[in-house]
Amino acid sequence: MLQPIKKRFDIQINAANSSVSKPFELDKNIKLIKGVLVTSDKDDLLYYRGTQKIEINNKEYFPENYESKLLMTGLNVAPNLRYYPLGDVLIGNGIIKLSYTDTDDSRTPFVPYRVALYVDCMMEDEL
Amino acid sequence: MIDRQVIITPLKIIKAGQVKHFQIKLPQTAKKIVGVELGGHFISELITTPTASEFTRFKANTLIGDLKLQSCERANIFYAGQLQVDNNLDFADFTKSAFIKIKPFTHQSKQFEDTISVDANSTIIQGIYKDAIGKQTGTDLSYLLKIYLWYKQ
Repeated sequence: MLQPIKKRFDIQINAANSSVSKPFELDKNIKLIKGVLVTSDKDDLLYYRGTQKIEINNKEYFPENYESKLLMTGLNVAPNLRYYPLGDVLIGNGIIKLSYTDTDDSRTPFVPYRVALYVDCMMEDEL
Repeated sequence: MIDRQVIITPLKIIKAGQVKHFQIKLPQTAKKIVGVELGGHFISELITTPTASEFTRFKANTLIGDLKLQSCERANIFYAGQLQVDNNLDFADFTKSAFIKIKPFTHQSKQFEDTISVDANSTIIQGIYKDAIGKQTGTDLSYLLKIYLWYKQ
Protein backbone atom coordinates (compact mmCIF):
# COMPACT_ATOMS: atom_id res chain seq x y z
CA MET A 1 0.00 0.00 0.00
CA LEU A 2 1.42 3.36 -1.03
CA GLN A 3 0.78 6.52 0.88
CA PRO A 4 1.49 10.13 -0.14
CA ILE A 5 4.38 11.98 1.43
CA LYS A 6 6.04 15.33 0.71
CA LYS A 7 9.80 15.89 0.80
CA ARG A 8 11.71 19.15 0.85
CA PHE A 9 15.29 19.80 -0.26
CA ASP A 10 17.05 23.17 0.10
CA ILE A 11 19.94 24.91 -1.55
CA GLN A 12 21.42 28.27 -0.61
CA ILE A 13 22.34 30.90 -3.20
CA ASN A 14 25.03 33.23 -1.87
CA ALA A 15 26.34 34.96 -4.99
CA ALA A 16 24.68 36.68 -7.92
CA ASN A 17 24.95 34.97 -11.32
CA SER A 18 26.11 31.75 -9.73
CA SER A 19 25.12 28.13 -10.26
CA VAL A 20 24.57 25.65 -7.48
CA SER A 21 24.15 21.96 -8.14
CA LYS A 22 23.29 19.41 -5.49
CA PRO A 23 22.10 15.80 -5.52
CA PHE A 24 19.52 14.67 -2.95
CA GLU A 25 18.75 11.12 -2.01
CA LEU A 26 15.23 9.91 -1.35
CA ASP A 27 14.41 7.38 1.35
CA LYS A 28 14.52 3.75 0.28
CA ASN A 29 10.83 3.19 0.96
CA ILE A 30 9.78 5.89 -1.53
CA LYS A 31 8.61 4.24 -4.72
CA LEU A 32 7.10 6.94 -6.95
CA ILE A 33 7.35 10.66 -7.60
CA LYS A 34 4.11 12.35 -8.60
CA GLY A 35 5.14 16.00 -8.87
CA VAL A 36 7.55 18.80 -8.01
CA LEU A 37 7.34 22.40 -6.88
CA VAL A 38 9.91 25.14 -6.22
CA THR A 39 9.64 27.93 -3.68
CA SER A 40 11.99 30.29 -1.89
CA ASP A 41 12.30 32.51 1.15
CA LYS A 42 12.57 35.38 -1.39
CA ASP A 43 9.85 34.58 -3.90
CA ASP A 44 10.56 37.59 -6.09
CA LEU A 45 14.19 36.62 -6.61
CA LEU A 46 13.28 33.06 -7.50
CA TYR A 47 10.54 34.26 -9.84
CA TYR A 48 12.59 36.79 -11.77
CA ARG A 49 16.14 35.43 -11.52
CA GLY A 50 15.90 31.65 -11.30
CA THR A 51 16.32 28.84 -13.79
CA GLN A 52 16.96 25.21 -12.98
CA LYS A 53 17.56 21.73 -14.25
CA ILE A 54 15.94 18.79 -12.47
CA GLU A 55 17.09 15.22 -12.96
CA ILE A 56 15.54 12.16 -11.36
CA ASN A 57 17.43 8.88 -11.57
CA ASN A 58 19.86 10.51 -14.07
CA LYS A 59 17.00 11.39 -16.42
CA GLU A 60 16.38 15.00 -17.24
CA TYR A 61 12.82 16.13 -16.52
CA PHE A 62 13.39 19.88 -16.76
CA PRO A 63 16.40 20.95 -18.82
CA GLU A 64 18.88 23.69 -18.08
CA ASN A 65 17.43 27.19 -18.48
CA TYR A 66 13.92 26.06 -17.47
CA GLU A 67 12.58 29.09 -15.62
CA SER A 68 11.67 28.68 -11.97
CA LYS A 69 8.54 30.81 -12.43
CA LEU A 70 7.04 27.97 -14.46
CA LEU A 71 7.27 25.65 -11.47
CA MET A 72 5.99 28.15 -8.89
CA THR A 73 2.41 28.69 -7.81
CA GLY A 74 0.83 31.56 -5.95
CA LEU A 75 -1.77 31.83 -3.22
CA ASN A 76 -4.53 31.60 -5.83
CA VAL A 77 -3.86 27.89 -6.31
CA ALA A 78 -5.32 25.45 -3.80
CA PRO A 79 -2.57 23.88 -1.63
CA ASN A 80 -3.36 20.33 -2.77
CA LEU A 81 -3.00 21.36 -6.44
CA ARG A 82 0.29 23.23 -6.29
CA TYR A 83 2.64 20.51 -7.50
CA TYR A 84 3.64 20.31 -11.16
CA PRO A 85 2.46 16.81 -12.15
CA LEU A 86 5.05 14.44 -13.62
CA GLY A 87 2.88 11.35 -13.82
CA ASP A 88 4.11 8.32 -11.90
CA VAL A 89 7.89 8.43 -12.03
CA LEU A 90 9.74 5.41 -10.71
CA ILE A 91 12.58 6.67 -8.56
CA GLY A 92 15.27 4.22 -9.75
CA ASN A 93 18.43 5.05 -7.81
CA GLY A 94 16.44 7.56 -5.74
CA ILE A 95 18.67 10.53 -6.55
CA ILE A 96 17.20 13.89 -7.47
CA LYS A 97 19.70 16.40 -8.80
CA LEU A 98 18.84 20.08 -8.70
CA SER A 99 21.07 22.45 -10.68
CA TYR A 100 20.00 26.01 -10.02
CA THR A 101 21.28 29.12 -11.83
CA ASP A 102 20.80 32.71 -10.72
CA THR A 103 20.76 35.36 -13.48
CA ASP A 104 20.62 39.14 -13.09
CA ASP A 105 17.26 40.76 -13.71
CA SER A 106 16.65 44.49 -13.62
CA ARG A 107 13.59 44.13 -11.36
CA THR A 108 15.26 42.39 -8.42
CA PRO A 109 18.64 43.26 -6.89
CA PHE A 110 20.49 40.28 -5.48
CA VAL A 111 20.46 39.29 -1.82
CA PRO A 112 21.32 35.78 -0.58
CA TYR A 113 18.31 33.48 -0.71
CA ARG A 114 17.24 29.90 -0.27
CA VAL A 115 15.63 27.73 -2.94
CA ALA A 116 13.45 24.84 -1.82
CA LEU A 117 12.48 21.92 -4.01
CA TYR A 118 9.35 20.12 -2.83
CA VAL A 119 8.71 16.63 -4.10
CA ASP A 120 5.34 14.88 -3.97
CA CYS A 121 6.14 11.19 -3.42
CA MET A 122 4.41 7.89 -2.76
CA MET A 123 5.91 5.90 0.07
CA GLU A 124 5.54 2.23 0.81
CA ASP A 125 4.08 1.50 4.22
CA GLU A 126 6.43 0.19 6.88
CA LEU A 127 6.22 -3.59 7.07
CA MET B 1 10.19 6.06 -19.34
CA ILE B 2 9.90 9.80 -19.92
CA ASP B 3 7.63 10.44 -22.86
CA ARG B 4 7.59 14.25 -22.71
CA GLN B 5 10.63 16.42 -23.22
CA VAL B 6 11.14 20.12 -23.74
CA ILE B 7 13.45 22.11 -26.01
CA ILE B 8 14.31 25.59 -24.75
CA THR B 9 15.23 28.23 -27.32
CA PRO B 10 16.49 31.54 -25.90
CA LEU B 11 16.30 34.67 -28.07
CA LYS B 12 17.88 37.95 -27.07
CA ILE B 13 16.00 41.05 -28.18
CA ILE B 14 17.93 44.31 -28.03
CA LYS B 15 16.25 46.72 -30.43
CA ALA B 16 12.83 48.33 -30.64
CA GLY B 17 10.64 46.56 -33.19
CA GLN B 18 13.26 43.88 -33.77
CA VAL B 19 12.18 40.95 -35.92
CA LYS B 20 13.99 37.72 -35.32
CA HIS B 21 13.88 34.61 -37.50
CA PHE B 22 15.06 31.41 -35.91
CA GLN B 23 14.92 27.63 -36.25
CA ILE B 24 14.31 24.95 -33.67
CA LYS B 25 15.80 21.56 -34.48
CA LEU B 26 13.70 18.64 -33.35
CA PRO B 27 15.48 15.46 -32.28
CA GLN B 28 14.92 12.32 -34.34
CA THR B 29 13.17 10.67 -31.41
CA ALA B 30 10.40 13.31 -31.41
CA LYS B 31 7.05 11.92 -32.55
CA LYS B 32 4.67 14.74 -31.82
CA ILE B 33 4.80 18.38 -30.67
CA VAL B 34 2.41 18.70 -27.74
CA GLY B 35 2.85 22.18 -26.33
CA VAL B 36 4.37 25.63 -26.49
CA GLU B 37 5.15 27.88 -23.56
CA LEU B 38 6.68 31.36 -23.44
CA GLY B 39 8.79 33.04 -20.81
CA GLY B 40 11.69 35.38 -20.36
CA HIS B 41 13.24 38.12 -18.33
CA PHE B 42 14.20 41.75 -18.78
CA ILE B 43 17.84 42.71 -19.00
CA SER B 44 17.21 46.45 -19.20
CA GLU B 45 14.75 48.17 -16.90
CA LEU B 46 11.09 47.70 -17.80
CA ILE B 47 9.13 50.92 -17.87
CA THR B 48 6.21 50.19 -15.60
CA THR B 49 2.83 51.14 -16.89
CA PRO B 50 0.76 53.39 -14.62
CA THR B 51 -1.82 51.39 -12.75
CA ALA B 52 -5.33 52.61 -12.17
CA SER B 53 -6.25 53.46 -8.61
CA GLU B 54 -9.63 51.71 -8.83
CA PHE B 55 -8.89 48.04 -8.59
CA THR B 56 -12.16 47.09 -10.26
CA ARG B 57 -11.09 48.77 -13.50
CA PHE B 58 -9.80 46.36 -16.09
CA LYS B 59 -6.41 47.41 -17.45
CA ALA B 60 -4.88 46.57 -20.82
CA ASN B 61 -2.07 44.06 -20.58
CA THR B 62 1.39 45.09 -21.77
CA LEU B 63 2.25 43.38 -25.03
CA ILE B 64 5.91 42.39 -25.23
CA GLY B 65 5.92 40.71 -28.64
CA ASP B 66 4.37 38.26 -31.10
CA LEU B 67 5.59 34.80 -31.91
CA LYS B 68 4.72 32.43 -34.77
CA LEU B 69 5.93 28.89 -35.28
CA GLN B 70 5.76 27.01 -38.56
CA SER B 71 6.22 23.38 -39.40
CA CYS B 72 7.53 22.38 -42.84
CA GLU B 73 4.85 19.67 -43.00
CA ARG B 74 1.10 19.94 -43.49
CA ALA B 75 0.45 21.82 -40.26
CA ASN B 76 2.22 24.93 -41.63
CA ILE B 77 1.84 27.78 -39.08
CA PHE B 78 0.70 25.88 -36.01
CA TYR B 79 1.25 28.41 -33.23
CA ALA B 80 0.71 32.14 -32.94
CA GLY B 81 1.09 33.58 -29.49
CA GLN B 82 1.76 36.79 -27.64
CA LEU B 83 4.19 37.38 -24.83
CA GLN B 84 2.60 39.83 -22.43
CA VAL B 85 2.70 41.17 -18.89
CA ASP B 86 -0.48 40.55 -16.93
CA ASN B 87 -1.62 43.89 -15.48
CA ASN B 88 -4.85 42.48 -14.06
CA LEU B 89 -3.57 40.08 -11.47
CA ASP B 90 -5.10 42.24 -8.74
CA PHE B 91 -8.39 42.76 -10.58
CA ALA B 92 -11.22 42.93 -8.04
CA ASP B 93 -9.10 41.27 -5.40
CA PHE B 94 -10.32 42.62 -2.08
CA THR B 95 -7.28 41.35 -0.20
CA LYS B 96 -5.19 44.07 -1.85
CA SER B 97 -4.21 46.86 0.53
CA ALA B 98 -1.43 49.35 1.20
CA PHE B 99 0.43 46.56 2.99
CA ILE B 100 -0.40 43.60 0.78
CA LYS B 101 0.76 44.09 -2.78
CA ILE B 102 -0.41 41.53 -5.33
CA LYS B 103 2.50 40.37 -7.44
CA PRO B 104 2.90 37.53 -9.91
CA PHE B 105 5.24 35.68 -7.57
CA THR B 106 2.63 35.66 -4.81
CA HIS B 107 -0.62 35.23 -6.71
CA GLN B 108 0.11 33.59 -10.04
CA SER B 109 -1.84 30.52 -11.05
CA LYS B 110 -0.25 27.32 -12.15
CA GLN B 111 1.78 27.67 -15.31
CA PHE B 112 1.11 25.20 -18.09
CA GLU B 113 1.94 25.13 -21.77
CA ASP B 114 -0.53 25.86 -24.56
CA THR B 115 -1.58 22.43 -25.76
CA ILE B 116 -1.11 21.70 -29.44
CA SER B 117 -0.91 18.52 -31.44
CA VAL B 118 1.37 18.56 -34.48
CA ASP B 119 3.38 15.66 -35.86
CA ALA B 120 7.13 16.05 -35.53
CA ASN B 121 8.04 14.75 -39.01
CA SER B 122 9.41 18.17 -39.84
CA THR B 123 12.90 18.09 -38.35
CA ILE B 124 13.11 21.87 -38.29
CA ILE B 125 10.56 24.30 -36.89
CA GLN B 126 10.75 27.80 -38.30
CA GLY B 127 9.95 30.70 -36.02
CA ILE B 128 9.51 34.43 -36.21
CA TYR B 129 9.37 36.81 -33.26
CA LYS B 130 8.43 40.48 -33.54
CA ASP B 131 9.11 42.91 -30.70
CA ALA B 132 6.21 45.17 -29.72
CA ILE B 133 7.13 46.77 -26.39
CA GLY B 134 10.18 48.56 -27.76
CA LYS B 135 8.06 49.96 -30.55
CA GLN B 136 5.36 51.15 -28.13
CA THR B 137 7.76 52.81 -25.72
CA GLY B 138 10.18 54.05 -28.37
CA THR B 139 13.18 52.67 -26.49
CA ASP B 140 15.58 49.83 -27.13
CA LEU B 141 14.58 47.47 -24.34
CA SER B 142 16.68 44.36 -24.07
CA TYR B 143 15.24 41.12 -22.83
CA LEU B 144 15.74 37.41 -23.12
CA LEU B 145 12.77 35.52 -24.53
CA LYS B 146 12.54 31.79 -23.98
CA ILE B 147 10.44 29.45 -26.11
CA TYR B 148 9.62 26.07 -24.59
CA LEU B 149 8.64 23.47 -27.16
CA TRP B 150 7.24 20.31 -25.57
CA TYR B 151 7.29 17.11 -27.58
CA LYS B 152 6.47 13.45 -27.12
CA GLN B 153 8.87 10.71 -28.06
